[in-house]
Amino acid sequence: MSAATDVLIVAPSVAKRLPATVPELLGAGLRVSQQSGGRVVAALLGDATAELAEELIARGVDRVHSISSAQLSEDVVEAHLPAVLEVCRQVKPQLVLLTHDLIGAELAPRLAFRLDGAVASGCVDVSFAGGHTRCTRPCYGGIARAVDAFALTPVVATIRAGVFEPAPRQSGRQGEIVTYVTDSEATTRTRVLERKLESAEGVRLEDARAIVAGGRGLEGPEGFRVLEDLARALDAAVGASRVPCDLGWCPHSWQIGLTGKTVTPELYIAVGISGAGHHMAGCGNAKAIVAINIDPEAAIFQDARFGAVGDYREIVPALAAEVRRLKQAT
Amino acid sequence: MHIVVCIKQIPNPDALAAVLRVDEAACAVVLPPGHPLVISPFDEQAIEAALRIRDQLGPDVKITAVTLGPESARTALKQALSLGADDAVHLLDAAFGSADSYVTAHALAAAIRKLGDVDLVLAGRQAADWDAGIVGLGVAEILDLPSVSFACGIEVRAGAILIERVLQDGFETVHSPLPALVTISNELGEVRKPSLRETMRAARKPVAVWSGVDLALDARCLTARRTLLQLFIPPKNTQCEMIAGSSGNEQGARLAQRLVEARLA
Repeated sequence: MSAATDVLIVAPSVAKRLPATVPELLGAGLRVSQQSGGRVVAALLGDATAELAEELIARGVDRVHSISSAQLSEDVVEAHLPAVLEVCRQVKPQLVLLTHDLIGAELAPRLAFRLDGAVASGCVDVSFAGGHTRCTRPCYGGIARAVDAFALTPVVATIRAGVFEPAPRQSGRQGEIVTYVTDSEATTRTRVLERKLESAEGVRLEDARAIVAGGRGLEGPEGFRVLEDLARALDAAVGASRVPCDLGWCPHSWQIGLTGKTVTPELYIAVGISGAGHHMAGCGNAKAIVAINIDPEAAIFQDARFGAVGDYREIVPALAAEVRRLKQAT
Repeated sequence: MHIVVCIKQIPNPDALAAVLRVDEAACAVVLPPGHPLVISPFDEQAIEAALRIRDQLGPDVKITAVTLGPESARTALKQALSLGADDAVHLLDAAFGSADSYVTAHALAAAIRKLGDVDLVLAGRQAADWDAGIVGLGVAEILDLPSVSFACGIEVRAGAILIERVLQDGFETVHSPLPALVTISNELGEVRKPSLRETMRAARKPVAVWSGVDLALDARCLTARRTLLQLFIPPKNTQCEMIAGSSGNEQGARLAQRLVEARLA
């Protein structure tokens, strides 16, 4: 058996910046490395700069493998695989951590099968004890949690956004940087022909301090206009549960939940959302949830700090008006 | 063109929260007797994606549904046949009883190899019970197929496929040669219902049953890598402060005041 104890963090750079989830991965990785007695190593992919490598080191990484190629910076999943594999062959990690996003969710299983390891996806906790890697993940549409144990290495795990505290910067940390340039184009069989991005107005959901989200209970697309007004009053972003997205009441990019985005705002106002596990898996880590629903039995009230039972068409505009009045008064 | 759709039978995930219980000692979910078993909704959409390709290309498209599961999973295959699949293969073996995504991916990959002339493999983005999303991509890796995940549309063009794919903030079109594996997301949209004629025909279509020996799976491929250590339902907060009022207007205003007092607004 190999005595692999190192934790490898996969950090794709996006537009020469580290996504906010990378320090969270490091938070998870540092904890596991303390339990396993290994080091934290990072695979920095894409149009990486020396500053990004230095930032990873400041946040606890001992060695950065920085790999750049045009294909990597274009988010082509297939191009990431040989790059990460190359780092894995050198590092021989016990655990590989990726963000549970579109790239991570596709990359992790392929990587695990290629490395003859194991895989756990969408984790909300990860630890190492008694020679086993343990991964906790939501299942059954977010209703239940499963704790999986793996005895072999490597374990490839994707971590949901917003569950781990980001690893802080420390001044004066030293680390090693290894850089390579690869040409993965030869190995990619798929290619992106076109990308259509929905231009997000105002605050991005992932970065929002406050979110106003609507569900089936809005009863139509016009309900989102009511929510948008409240969002303006609160300087919040607008989101949705899956049903309004599938029904075309709002863009798919607004979807929060197990099959949508994971958000962790300070304030989450759920309007006409029943609170199914599927949705809560994407917003359950919000600091405070406020539920507005016509159904007093809605499950969402069990997750909420404040609740109001009634017609959102009356409650939400009054809430927006009073927020504006109170803000002006201060 | 031959399309294989990988499907899984699961407890109906609709309104599951009200009835799902967990036996923590046995690490197993407990459902009320008679809780319906269905094709996982994302897999149903994978079947729909295959049917849409046949709508586009015509009757030369052959669709085979494959599942790994207990005896009951035969019903899921019959349903796939009634939706329009031509053939069905049931991977059934006592050795699959403790299958995790590693074992399942190896068994499905072996079945696809055994079928031979497969051009396209489709699967749901994840099964709506364990929500892992591993098996499909594992199959792609074992068979060395290019993969594209979270598809909401597929078009066959000149021996290759164009896949419409859902991004965090939009969509992209990806080109892939065939054979390939594609996982389907809910954005694919509405699925068709089985027709009476197809249901009658489906009743007469056979379901092939293959065991681990038929698939020539070795002990290593049959050994689960995951040990389920714990299964639980996280406790809920019951401390919700309900904002009452004589009207919605009053509730809204009071809620605003409480949010400001709690420094949330």
